[in-house]
Parts: sequence; C-alpha cells; structure tokens
Amino acid sequence: MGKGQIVSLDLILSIVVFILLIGGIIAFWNIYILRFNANIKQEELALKATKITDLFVESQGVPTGWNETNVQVIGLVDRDRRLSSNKLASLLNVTYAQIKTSLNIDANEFYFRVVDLNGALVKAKGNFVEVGNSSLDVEQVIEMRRFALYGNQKVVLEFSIWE
Amino acid sequence: MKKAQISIEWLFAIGTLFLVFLLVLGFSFDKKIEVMKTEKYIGLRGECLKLSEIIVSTFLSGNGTEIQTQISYNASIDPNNQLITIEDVDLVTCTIPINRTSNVDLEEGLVILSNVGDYVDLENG
Repeated sequence: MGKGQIVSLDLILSIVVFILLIGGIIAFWNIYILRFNANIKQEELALKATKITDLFVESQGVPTGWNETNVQVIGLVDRDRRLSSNKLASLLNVTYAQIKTSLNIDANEFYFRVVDLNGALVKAKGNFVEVGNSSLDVEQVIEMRRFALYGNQKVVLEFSIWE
Repeated sequence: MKKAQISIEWLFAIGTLFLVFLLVLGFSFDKKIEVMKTEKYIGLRGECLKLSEIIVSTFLSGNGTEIQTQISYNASIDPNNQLITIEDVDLVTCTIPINRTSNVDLEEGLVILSNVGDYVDLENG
C-alpha cells in the first residue's frame, strides 16, 4: 500500500509538471500569435503609408488641377517631388473625412504636415500645411517622412497613420 | 491482492498519461491547422499587396506605362470600394489608395497593367 502511494504521488507530481510545461508552451504560442498579428497590422499600415506618400510626392492628382469639389486622386506636386502651393492649399480645403475616403483609409486615422528642415510648419497660401490631429497618445503608429522641394526650399512631408 | 492493487494503479497511471498525450496531440493538431491557415493567408495577402503595389506604380509612372506581372490566384479589382480581393478557398482583401482602375475579375496567370490617361487598365494576357 505504501509503495503504491509513493508511485501515485510521483505520478501526480510529474503530471502536474508536465501540464505546467504544456500550459507554458500554449501561453508562449498565444503571445507569439498576438505579436505576429500585431506585426501584420503594422506592416499593412506601413505599406499604406508608403503608397499614400508616394501618391503625394509623385502624382499631380486627378484631375491635374484638382480642388476640394472635384478631387479623385490626391497628388501634391506639379512635377516629381516638387510640391505645388495650389495643391497644398486645396488639400487644406478638403475635409479630413473626405481625404480618408479618397485614400481609402476610412478605418484609420492620420496626421499630415509639411515642415522645413528645422521642423517649422510650412505655409501654403497663408495657412500652415497640417491636417488631422497628432498621434502622441497612440501606441502603434506608423510615421513616414518624405523629402520634397517646395519652391527652392527642401521640405519634409510627415505622414502618420494608426488604427 | 497487493499485486492486483498495484496493477490498478498502473492502469490508472497509464490511462492518465494516455489522456494527457491525447490532449497534447489534439493541441498540436489544432496548432498545425492554424499554422497552415496562417501560411495560406500570408501567401494570399502577399499576392494582394503585390498587385496593389503594381497598380499604384503603374498609376504613378504616368500615361503610356505598361507593366506585366504574374499572379498565382484569381483576383478581382473593385475601384468603387478601392479594394482588391484575392480568391482561393478563403478570400483576402487589401486596399488601394486610388479609384482610377478598371473593374475587373482576373484569372491567375499573366496580367497586363496599362496606364491610359492616368487610368489603370488591367487585363489577363
């Protein structure tokens, strides 16, 4: 009887250790899956940001002389990477929601601004080029910076996107 | 009598171990299916993002641009919702930031993208 009890206790202990190990593996697995999914989302956001900023600095938009009433594709340049003050001013007249719909990022939020190399906001037709609210309190945000020319000045387009 | 009791204990022990291993087997099988599904999803998603990237590149490269590419799955382009859907056992969608594309269902194989007046036309080759 005594022998049997010792064997049972050993067995129970080993099973408990084994179950703990399996539990640990499952927990690790779930953490890994969560991180993996978060990475996928981040990667998708980064790709969106890349395509959108590509459009901004490489496209004239559609129609070429677009404004807030007829915009189909938002592009901010007259020539490759040369920003147009008219288009920047037009962008400020387009609503935040309209821009999101045009870029097909309705499920996301964004912040866009154009700054000079010292970080000061650039003006277009008297208004600072800044759209949306800054994402300071957001955890997972993708920030994209693109260089362009505005007149003879080098400027940086900063575009942030998050869920 | 004592011997018989030990046998029952062993029987219980082996039964418990068997149950535990069945659980582990079930878990590993479940995770294997999960990995296979994820692998499939990654493949479809990659195809979707590739097509999206090529459409934007064709648009940005200007009027007269023609790009050829191969796709491994059927795909449909919906310019109204600015969506690409890759069709297989599962459906995977991704977005495009422009609506200047043709509304088209593409079959796997060669796809030709042409920029005609800042409008991206897609067709099977």
